[in-house]
This record gives sequence, C-alpha cells and structure tokens, in this order.
Amino acid sequence: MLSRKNIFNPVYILADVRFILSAAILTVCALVLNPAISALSRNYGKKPIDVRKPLKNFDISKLPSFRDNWKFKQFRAPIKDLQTDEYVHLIFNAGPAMIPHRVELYVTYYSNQADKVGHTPEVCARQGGAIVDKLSTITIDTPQLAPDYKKIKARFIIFKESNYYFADIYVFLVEGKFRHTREQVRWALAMPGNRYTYFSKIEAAAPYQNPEDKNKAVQTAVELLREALVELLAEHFPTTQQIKKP
Amino acid sequence: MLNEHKIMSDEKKVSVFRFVILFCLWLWAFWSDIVGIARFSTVSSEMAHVLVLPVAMILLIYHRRSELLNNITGGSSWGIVIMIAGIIIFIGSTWPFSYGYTRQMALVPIIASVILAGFGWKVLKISVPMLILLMLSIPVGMRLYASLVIIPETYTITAVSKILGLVPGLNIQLSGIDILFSSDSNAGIIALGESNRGVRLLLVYAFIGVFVAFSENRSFWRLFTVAIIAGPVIFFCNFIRLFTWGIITIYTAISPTSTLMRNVSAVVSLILCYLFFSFVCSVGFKRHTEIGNDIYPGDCKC
Repeated sequence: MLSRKNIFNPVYILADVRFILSAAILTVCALVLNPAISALSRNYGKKPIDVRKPLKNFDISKLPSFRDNWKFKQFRAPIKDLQTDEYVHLIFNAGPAMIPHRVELYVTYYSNQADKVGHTPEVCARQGGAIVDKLSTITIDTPQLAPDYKKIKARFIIFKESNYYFADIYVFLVEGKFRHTREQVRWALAMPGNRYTYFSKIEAAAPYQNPEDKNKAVQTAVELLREALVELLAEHFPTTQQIKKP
Repeated sequence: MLNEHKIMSDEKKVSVFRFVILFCLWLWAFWSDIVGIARFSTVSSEMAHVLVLPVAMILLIYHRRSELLNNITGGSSWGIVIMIAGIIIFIGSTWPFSYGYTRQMALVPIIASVILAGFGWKVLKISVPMLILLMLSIPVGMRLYASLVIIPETYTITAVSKILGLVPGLNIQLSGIDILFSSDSNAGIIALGESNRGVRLLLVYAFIGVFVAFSENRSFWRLFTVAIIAGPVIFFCNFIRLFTWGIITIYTAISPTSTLMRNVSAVVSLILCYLFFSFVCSVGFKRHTEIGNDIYPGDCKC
C-alpha cells in the first residue's frame, strides 16, 4: 500500500530491480566508459607502418603495356590536400592519334588509424567541375595476382566534363586485402587481428571525347590498374607477414 | 474504487520519478555527445532544427500526456537488454570502429531502453515520434553525407539547370556541381561556394514531416501514406530550395557571397515542406479532435 508521503521515499524508489540495474549500468557508463575506451584504443590500437619502397620511386618499366609507347611525367600535388606525403601520380601521354591519348595512375598510401578515407573521385572530382555520368562496381580479372586474387572488385565511374568524358576506376588495398568502397575500408581498418595498419587507394583514369571510345578508355585504365597492382604489391606495400608481426 | 485509482496514480508517480532519475543518469553518461550534437546545431545550418527539438518534443509529449500517463506500467526487463545492446554499439562505434554517426545514434536505443525499463512497451510505442525526432537530430558525418548524396545531388542540380535553361534570354551551363548562368544583365554561379548545394536540409524537411504527421492522432494508413510520399516531398522541397536560390541569384543584384539567398530559399522551401505535409495529413480526413482516442482505418476517409 502506497501513501503520498512514501512516493519520494528512497527505500520505495529503490525497491525495483529493473530500476536498480538500469541506474547501475548508466552510472558505470558515466564513470568509466570514456576512460576505458581510451585505454583500449591506446593499448590495442593498430600501429602505423611505412611502405617498403617509396611510391615516388615507382618503376615504370614494370608496366609492360605502358613502358614503350607512352611518355610519362610525375605530378606532385600539395601535401596538405592529400594528408599524406606517400603518393604517386603518373600521367602517361601517347599522342593525339591514340585513343585514349592519355591515362593516369594515382596511388595514395595512408597508415594511421585516424585516417578515414577522405578522398574518393566520385566526391572530389565533382568539386572540380566533373559530372558523375555513371557510378557502379565492376569485376576485374587479375591473373597476375593469383592465387590470392584472381578477380577483384573495383569502383567504376564515368565522369562528364564540358567537352569530354573520363573513365575512372579505383580500388583500395587495406592491410593486404582489396576493398572497393570507403565504408568497406573503414570496416577493414577497424577489424582487430593485425598489429599494423595501412590502406592505399589505387586509381586509374583515361579521358575520351566520343562516347563510342568509352570501351577503349575503360580497357586502357583497367590494364594500367592491373599492371600497377602487381608492382605495388611486389615492391611497395607492406607484406602480410609485416603487418601481423608483433 | 477512488482509493484504488489513487494508489495507481501514486505508483505511476513513482515510475515517473524513477524515469527522471534514469534520464538524468543518461544525460550524465553521454553528456559529451549530447553537448556535441547541440553545439554542432549552432554552427551548421543543416542541423538548425536541433535547436527546436526540445520544444517539438515537449509539444508532442504534451499532446500525448494522457495517453502516456494512462499506459504506464511497471516497465519491462527488455529495457535492460536493449540498454546493454545500445551501450555495446556505442562502445564499438567509438573503438575499434570510429563511426561518429553510429556512436551518437546509439543514444536513441539507450534512451528508448530507459523508457521501456521505466514505463513499459505501450509508453515506448507512444514515444516513437519523439524518438524519431531525436534520430533526425543526429548529424550525419560530412564525408558520409557527401558520398550518400552524389546521385540525388546530381539529379537535383541537373533538373534545376534544365528548368532554368527554359527561361528565354538565359544561358545555363552545368560544370560539376556549378550551375553557371549568363544573361544580358547578369552572369555568375548559383549557390557559389555552398557545400552539398544540390542536397541540403533533408533532415530538416524530414523533421517537419514527422512533427506534422504526429502532431495529431492519425490512423495507421494515414501515417503509412505520409511515410510513402515523404521521400518525393523532401526531394521536391530540396529542388525548390535550389531553384529559388537560382531565381534570386539571376534576377537580383545581390552579391554572390551574401547569405540572403541561402536564407530566403531555405525559408521558402521549409514553408512549402510544412504546407505539403499538412496537406497530405489533412486532405480527405475527418478531423479528430478528441485527444487520447485511437483512430482506426474506418474512421477516416483516406
């Protein structure tokens, strides 16, 4: 039997197991949640790891389809835009008669768990004036990466500029595993298991003027991506053993 | 009988008192995130509706006060289960996963669990509109938002440029997210420098829709209809926002850096959004003025 004077009586208020448990859980959260999460992150967070060989020393001669008939130059971007100084941006030119007459390789490398995949072309290229004409995921045959990766999925975008198009294909390599969306990368970065962490975006793009040249542009970009991946995995990115070792 | 009613009433008062204690503990435990959400609303025009969240919540609670009080029970143990699940999501979203949006979103099931543990399932069901408003007040991360809106933003900007291109004497060009215009008297870019200019205020439009829909007791089918048309209404209002911005930019001599165009276009689209949702919620509807009673499908003309 309850009377009004007992409503605020602590003994009566506390006489409910659900209330006691709920209050206890929330009080524990208030007292220890943030310090506990910080301690976990400090002690069990993954560590950064450097590339084996700097990306700016990327060896063009390892790209069989592009080393002979293409002229190339390396482009250096302002570091603050990329938030990493480990990158390579190669522009291959083949003269106006070729379709496509230009193809680009763009590789960035990040090794910090705080990095959250800031730059993807479908977001960034639009700020520069490009219009997304098509956005999808494609599967690329990569027999050179067998047996680990006979096929990989990559993000495929067709951008429309004022008087030309360009095909853009990119893929992420996260701690030795291929991923093709930003959210997949973030998920893989957070998954426990490895001692060290890194991710890289490998992107190839080829411009074209006439819609009927699209397939040639796409094939050239895919070929560049495929050949670059072989060299990057063989010479530049950390090995699976390196990221696992204590 | 009167004595029995009084006893029930006193037990409910104890339940309310317990809920107030748990609510204060919730505020204490997640203070930094709650302050973060409130602070973000003061610097982002996208989230300005968070400033009216307390008022909107109080109004909805006031509207449902008798329903809420009449349905208070002793609570449910499932509240504790959901609370623990919400806390696990909160922890996981902080470390190892670094998802700010999921972390803040986890506050919703936790406060829902407090309602459930204190008052029971019926009160939780009645509280759903308030919880939806809370969900719509949690800011989506900039990078996540930018990647989610690519396609709708492209469509909106293209649609606005095509409609403006029909105006005689006006030359419209599209370059990325820029709509460039030129006429005999004026030339420039619409919404110059505005981030995500093609898709903004989506959460605000949705907030208005939820508030209008739940500001009266409505039938399930009415709410279902509102939910179905909410997407098109929201995107149409977003289109009107950019279109209005374009018209003001083209036909006035206001500096492109002025905030006037942004404010006027936002207010026009928000009023339109309110009118749209009010219309959908009331058209063909037999007005129900008796607060606290359920309306069944047969009671309305929809």
